[in-house]
Amino acid sequence: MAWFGIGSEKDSLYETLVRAYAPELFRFAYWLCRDRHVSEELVQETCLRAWKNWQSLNDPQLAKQWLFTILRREHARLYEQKTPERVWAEDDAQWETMVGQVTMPLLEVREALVKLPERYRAPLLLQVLGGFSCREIAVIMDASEDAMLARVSRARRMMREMLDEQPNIRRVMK
Amino acid sequence: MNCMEFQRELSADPRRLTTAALGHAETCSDCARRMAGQINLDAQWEAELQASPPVGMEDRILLATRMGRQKRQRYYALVATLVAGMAVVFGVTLSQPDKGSPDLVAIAVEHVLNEPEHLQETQVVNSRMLNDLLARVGAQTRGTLPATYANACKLPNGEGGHIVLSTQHGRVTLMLIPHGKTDAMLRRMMGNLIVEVHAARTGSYSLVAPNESALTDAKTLLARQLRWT
Repeated sequence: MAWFGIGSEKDSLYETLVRAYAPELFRFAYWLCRDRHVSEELVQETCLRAWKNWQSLNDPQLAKQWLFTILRREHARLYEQKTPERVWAEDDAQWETMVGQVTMPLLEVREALVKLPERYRAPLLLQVLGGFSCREIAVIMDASEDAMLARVSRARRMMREMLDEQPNIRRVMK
Repeated sequence: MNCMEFQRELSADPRRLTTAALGHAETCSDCARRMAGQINLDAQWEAELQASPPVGMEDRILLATRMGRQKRQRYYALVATLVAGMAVVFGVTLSQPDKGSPDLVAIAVEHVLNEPEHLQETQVVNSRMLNDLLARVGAQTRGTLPATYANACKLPNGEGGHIVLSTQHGRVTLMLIPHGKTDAMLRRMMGNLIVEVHAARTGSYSLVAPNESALTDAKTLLARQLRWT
């Protein structure tokens, strides 16, 4: 139901998109910047920009890719240059809320992920969490498909190498 | 396809392997094992990298979009007012639009959505605090109000009060808005919330309820327990 406007088709589609994709956008934003407040701001800014530039959404079927592209650019514009290297500073209570139960494999996957340079982390997240193909990732990242194929492969290899060094992960993976 | 080519394809996108790669995996047990391992690993990463969004995030986004549109509409209203003012100078009288009242609904809902935690918590609210807040809109309690949260709060147009009432059909937020006046009762559905804004002795107050029954409970409660001074 479109409640925030006069009930036009645009209002209705916009609300559907926000409700459908905001959680996925938040998850991607969170693993990019690792800050819940910044992530919410990023998602909000993404949606506001989407609303303002609605005419550039030519095909509603591509709405998810379009929203992720806006978020990725917004993150680059606002935070990439000035975000200091963060450590995993959230307290356990916050993590309990986010992921249910903190387990050792989870901590190690997180640690491995955060060690990935962003140019590798973002394409991998888009594929694993967003379900995008390399062609779609190339559009979102403003890069070539070949470059994305190489980065995703490299990211997977780096993750595997880091996780292979963790005894808990090895045990879980067997 | 050989094993090297298969591995390259597998590590680029294990969920979208070509027919040639899938054919290779059928004939090569090592590559079939690698494929299963990579698919499992991706599934595990996906499951472990959850991050649930803050409660009410989507509603806040939709509200922010709406508020942004209202700002633009206010800008157009300002331009219209200036044009109207010039017209008055030239002897044409135009009526002024009512610009203030529709925002009261949005102010109340935005405040509730920004502080969803107050709908969950249960505080011991003393009647003195309650009466101090209610006095801002010219009200006093006659008896007890089943409040689970009460505090002063900053609103866009000045300081107000934020009270959560417990009713049989759910919790209802009572927002006290001393600096926002309305001449008529305003009512709007916003998402799953029902919002009503009523005139108070000073300014207005709004009720934000999760359903019609809870809203009726809250209105009955206020009619019985509040006295307007």
